[in-house]
Amino acid sequence: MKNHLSRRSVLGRLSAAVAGVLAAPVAKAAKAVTQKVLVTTDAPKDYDPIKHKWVMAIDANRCIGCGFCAEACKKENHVPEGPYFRTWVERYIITKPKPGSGAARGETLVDCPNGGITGYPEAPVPKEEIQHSFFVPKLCNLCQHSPCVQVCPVGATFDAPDGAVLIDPKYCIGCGFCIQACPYGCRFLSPVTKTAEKCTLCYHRITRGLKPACVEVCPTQARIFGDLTNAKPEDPILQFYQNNLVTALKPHLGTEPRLFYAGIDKEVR
Amino acid sequence: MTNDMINIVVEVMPHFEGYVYPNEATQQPLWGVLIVLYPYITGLVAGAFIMASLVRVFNVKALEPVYRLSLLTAFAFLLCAPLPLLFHLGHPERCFEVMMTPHLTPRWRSSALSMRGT
Repeated sequence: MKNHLSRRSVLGRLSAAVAGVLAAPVAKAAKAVTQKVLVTTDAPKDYDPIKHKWVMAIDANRCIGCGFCAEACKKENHVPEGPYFRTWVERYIITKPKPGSGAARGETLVDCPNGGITGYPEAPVPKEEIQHSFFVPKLCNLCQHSPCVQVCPVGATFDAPDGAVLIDPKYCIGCGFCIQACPYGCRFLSPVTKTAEKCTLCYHRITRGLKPACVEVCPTQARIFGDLTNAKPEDPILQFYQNNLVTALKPHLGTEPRLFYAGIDKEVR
Repeated sequence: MTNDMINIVVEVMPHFEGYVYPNEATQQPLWGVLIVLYPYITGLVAGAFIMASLVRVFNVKALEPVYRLSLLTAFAFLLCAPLPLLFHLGHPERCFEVMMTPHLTPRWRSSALSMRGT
């Protein structure tokens, strides 16, 4: 049998493969640079997104459900009145199992009136029936494989090189695709700007060296925010990773969230 | 009129029980009647066009009197078929961006300097 692989074709294929491997990081860097130069964000001019990696983490054990974070977020980011939230706090109530049932835990009751800003009503079940209850602050999960970025028909939503998932408000056409795609319900169509809006990690604040508004006001440090690239060993975010067993929301969806939770139950969705 | 139609659709929609994320607990569905109108109108276009093609392509003599009417109907509905989708957008004036995607950057309209830090 004749050998079809000539030296020329083998060399050609090899060099193409090498070129492909070499081109990938170059393309990545070029994308980061173009994003830095050409995208509308709230960052100051001298901010370099490549030198940061912003992450947030939630210690649900510490959350007392005061709702300050949701309120601060609304004020800081001019989120419109009504059912529009960039962050909110859910109350989970797990009841005791019904007598005679084989289950170890009862039903899960979740509520979040007005994002948790105005407090929570009396529990819908008597106190004796509650096994335990807890609060879960919610915000953008900062997915590595964001469904919202994948579906945007105009490329207005993008992964910033510093870990934030942002929307270019001058590019968004307000079709609502990303709102349908987000499995965490973190986006809404603003009735004011007619574009999609979401948690930006308070991009205008973090790029100027401040913490996000919700982290700033949290009285119990249930929200931990940090910069992984520039974190010192005693940084709260590294301490959090070191001292807690963390989980992400809906891991089966493969979105790879960068927002981690400590102290939440399996019932949390 | 539009509100009545939206109400009908909302009533037909299944009512969810249990917890819904606060952003998703809106009064009206995000994608409403306007989205449904699009396939409805394109269906009319297709139907009228088939009527016209029956005459010329398949030589159905019985439909000769409606040939002109059906072709015009198809054309008229074709012109307004994209309108419901356009008006459902938050910014219909930016709809052409869909045709410009994928692109290198989200912003290409003004100079690079004016775009930073706004």
